[in-house]
Amino acid sequence: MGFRNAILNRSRRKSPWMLFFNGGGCNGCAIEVVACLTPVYDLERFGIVNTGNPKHADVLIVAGTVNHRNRRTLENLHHAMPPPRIVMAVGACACTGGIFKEAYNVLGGADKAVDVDVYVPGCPPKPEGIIDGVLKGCGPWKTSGGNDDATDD
Amino acid sequence: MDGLTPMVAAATALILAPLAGGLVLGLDRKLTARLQGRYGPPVSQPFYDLVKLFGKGARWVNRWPPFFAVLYAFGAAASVILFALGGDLLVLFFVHTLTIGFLVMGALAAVSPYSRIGAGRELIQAMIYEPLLLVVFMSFHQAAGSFDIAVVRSASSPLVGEIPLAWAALFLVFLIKMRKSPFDFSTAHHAHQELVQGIRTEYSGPFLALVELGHLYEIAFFLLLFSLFWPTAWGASAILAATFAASLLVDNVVPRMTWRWALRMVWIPGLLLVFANMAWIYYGL
Amino acid sequence: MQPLISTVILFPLAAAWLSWAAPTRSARKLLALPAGLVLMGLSGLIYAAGPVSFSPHPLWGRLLHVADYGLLAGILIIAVRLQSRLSWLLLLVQLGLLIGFDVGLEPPPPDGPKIVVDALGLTLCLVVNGIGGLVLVYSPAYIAAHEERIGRRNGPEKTFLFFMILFLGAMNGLIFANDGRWLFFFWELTTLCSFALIAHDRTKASLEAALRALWMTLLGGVFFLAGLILLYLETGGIALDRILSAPPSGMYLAGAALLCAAGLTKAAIPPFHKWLLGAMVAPAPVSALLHASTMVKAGAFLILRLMPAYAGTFLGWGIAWIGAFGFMAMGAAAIHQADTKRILACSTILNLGLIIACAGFGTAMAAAAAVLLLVFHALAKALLFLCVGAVEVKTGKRTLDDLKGLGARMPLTTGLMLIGILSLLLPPFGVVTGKWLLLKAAAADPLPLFFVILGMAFHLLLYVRWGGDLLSRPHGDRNWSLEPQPLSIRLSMLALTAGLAALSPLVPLLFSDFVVPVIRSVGLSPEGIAGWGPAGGYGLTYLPALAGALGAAVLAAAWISLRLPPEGGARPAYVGGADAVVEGEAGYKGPFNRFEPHQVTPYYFSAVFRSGLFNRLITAASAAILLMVLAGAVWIGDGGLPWMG
Repeated sequence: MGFRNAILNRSRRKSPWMLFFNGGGCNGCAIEVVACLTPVYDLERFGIVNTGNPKHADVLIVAGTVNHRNRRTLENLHHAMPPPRIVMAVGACACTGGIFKEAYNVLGGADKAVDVDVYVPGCPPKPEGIIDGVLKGCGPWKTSGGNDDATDD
Repeated sequence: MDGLTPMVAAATALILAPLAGGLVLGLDRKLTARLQGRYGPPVSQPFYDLVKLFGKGARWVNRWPPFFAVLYAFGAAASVILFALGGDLLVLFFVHTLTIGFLVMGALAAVSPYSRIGAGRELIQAMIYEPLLLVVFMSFHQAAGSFDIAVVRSASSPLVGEIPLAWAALFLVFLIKMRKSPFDFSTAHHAHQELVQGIRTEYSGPFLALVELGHLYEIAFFLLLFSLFWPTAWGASAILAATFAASLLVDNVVPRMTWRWALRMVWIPGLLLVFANMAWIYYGL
Repeated sequence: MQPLISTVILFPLAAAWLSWAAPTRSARKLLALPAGLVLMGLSGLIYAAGPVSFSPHPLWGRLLHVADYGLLAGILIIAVRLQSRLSWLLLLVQLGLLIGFDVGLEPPPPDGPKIVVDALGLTLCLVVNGIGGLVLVYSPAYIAAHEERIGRRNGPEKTFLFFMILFLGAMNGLIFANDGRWLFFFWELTTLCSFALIAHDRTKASLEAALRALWMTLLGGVFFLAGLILLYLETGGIALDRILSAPPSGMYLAGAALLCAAGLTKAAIPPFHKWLLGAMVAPAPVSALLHASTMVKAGAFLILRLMPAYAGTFLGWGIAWIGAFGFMAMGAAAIHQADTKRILACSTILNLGLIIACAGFGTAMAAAAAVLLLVFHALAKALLFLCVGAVEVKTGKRTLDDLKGLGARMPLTTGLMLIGILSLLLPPFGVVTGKWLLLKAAAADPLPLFFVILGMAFHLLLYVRWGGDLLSRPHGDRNWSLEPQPLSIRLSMLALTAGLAALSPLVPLLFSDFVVPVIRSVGLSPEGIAGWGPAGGYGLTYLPALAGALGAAVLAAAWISLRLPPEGGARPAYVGGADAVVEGEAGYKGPFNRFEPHQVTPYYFSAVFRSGLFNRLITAASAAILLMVLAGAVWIGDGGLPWMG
């Protein structure tokens, strides 16, 4: 059992596929996330692939605020991701609502809709920060833990 | 031959084939990254992906995609095993058809726009390369006098000398099977796929892993087919290296094209190539 | 033996009259079941009894000659009343030829048996009566519902059963007749039955289709008579066994070519394919019986029968071309079709093309392929037609889009339909084994193969698309309640499926007892392939092994997919996170929270394949090939060609 978990967790650490969700933000964070994919930062060297499909993804990266309009979409995406999964809030808006926090239509950060595992602050955060966040999100898989419940929610 | 040998051959093929397929995919990703000025993932990346997917939960639209994912992996493994047992090339062709049929039916069964369009395109791809694959087998028959793999393998001179144009045609098929540009319109590993993940969209978790495993078997199957062109250790290595290098080059210098383009560009030159080659042997030129 | 053969021909005639005379609907209904079962039993007995040849009392021959004229006159009256000029002109030609034959030429010597039962005939007899019997069992329940659906009670349902049973009798006569005149009578009797059954609904479309079928098959009759007269002039006899054993000379091959052309019209090979496509307006049992398993097989049967006459000549080579081209052309023509019955029609023609190409290749292995294709295609296609019919009765619909997600509504019919579809595509089913042998046989002559290879690609696209669509449904849990269905319909479909699934992996075991005799009966030596020689015993191990492994894999897949927790992982399809399922329909929440279902129609390639140009091209090209083959048969005769190896 221990051996199986060790291999499984190592594989999970080595292959976190991401899904990017851009909420009600200014696209600054989105551009930084895209920058991670470019040859300069080369996310793929960590085995990270931008899947664009929640059913394949391990890491949900949320940028921008959650508002009344996009909350259901975010919940749906999260709901469609098979466990184990990690949610990452990237940027000030996704962490807390940022400068839009007081707007009439805004609920706040990503954690108003889904449980967030990793917060990456900054407006926008640097690509290094985002990459660091993803790898930090894989932390629970360092040992044998991690959210391994196949039938949650 | 005693009863044990085929069992051993089958078991070896069953284990080695995904390793070989994964290695090819890993090398491919690494070298592609290097060609693009990136560092790239480790060569073992496909195996990490596979193991992770097997350990993941599943999401399904209905029970058919999981059902067909199992059958797809089975069919792909069966074609490699049948090859290892030294069967008939035509039977391999039919088993290969079966494999693709399962993958496509699973994707069509999910009521999903992306997976259904991807499945439709996969079918078009199959329609494009199946005739080519079959004529390549026919040219094997013509050059070696039999469809029996054992006979083809024991041909006195390397077949690549006799049917070099069939190699070119099989190379076109290989590009399609590897989901390489310009033929990656049903699904691709890249983020710039316009159909999300096309035919794979609704396969997830362990079932996506099965689809991926089947893909590795399919790659191994094609490697085995290429090795028939020069069935000695060095010859096969040379052929495989040349094929791999050529596919890498094409993938990186050609953009994705539409299926209409693919149909024209594969059928016409591909079939002409093989038939020219067959006519050449037929009339003893 | 002799009484058995007479019974299998005459019993349907009697049963047909009984059904005509039956006073009520329920009496007719009661008749269909025993008639079907008796025919199935008879064919089994005949097969067990084996080959035989005999002549019945000469009175029968005279009776048949009179009946010949009566039949033609009857069709003539129908054609004149329906103002189908083409039909009655062709009938006049036929009558002219027949009178010319009877009056102008010396009567043929009364030598040779009138009835010859050989292995090929026995096999076809088993197919016709086995499947025909099941279709008869299926018919009453279908036709009652069908009449209700098209809004007509007590309509010509009476004539329906009459012609169905009569047709089976005609078919049996056709299979066993050795005398050319006898053969011709039964040949034209099937034409009449087919016409009546296509016209069954009495709508404008059905009459049009029936008249087209009539004139095209009558044209085949003209070819038949002309070929028979030519062969009589050359060989001095009209008994088939005598003709086939005669040495080829002069116009011999031209006569054989005309007979083959007659076979092509019956088998609806392009350029004669239009009538079969139109005939799809007929009720489903008619399509299953006439246009899938039996009547069109009569064409292929005649061409197979004539194999000894043209084997190794230019004509044989040409027939391979015609069949192979038909295979490809109909595959391409089927792609844009949305109506499942039309798809089945195209695919029927395409498989017949393959059988005829086998006949043209003329080797023992090709003949074996032809037998396998003949038997298994008949089983699979009859099953598919019956399934489509069962769906049509229930829902009134039959296009691909309507069938989408049928698995949720009619699980049993869908499952059987899926097996039927897969049996056309996938190993280890018999049709694919037949194709395997065909490819092996054809590898020696790769030119016609070009068409076969392209056709196979179209065929794959066609059926995988259909199979996948059947199963598609939005997420939701399984539904195990079987659809209510008349028992007769359900049982006949199940019986066909069982035959298909049980026989397919056994082909290697049955090969030497059931296929090799047929190869012998068409004048070929099965040396080298007896005992599954083609693959050196490979087929013997691979087919059952693959069947077993596939069966195990299907069970494993079912176990795995059914064990998935009921609600834990089921999610709607991904549509950008806006997914929603409302009343069993998948879609997304659009602007203003409005629900929009999403629809993806399959690729139909209409721009290419639907165009008139494409259809005209098929007809023109196939007609050109046919004319060249006929002309070549006349000019080249039995001389080989330099490129024929």
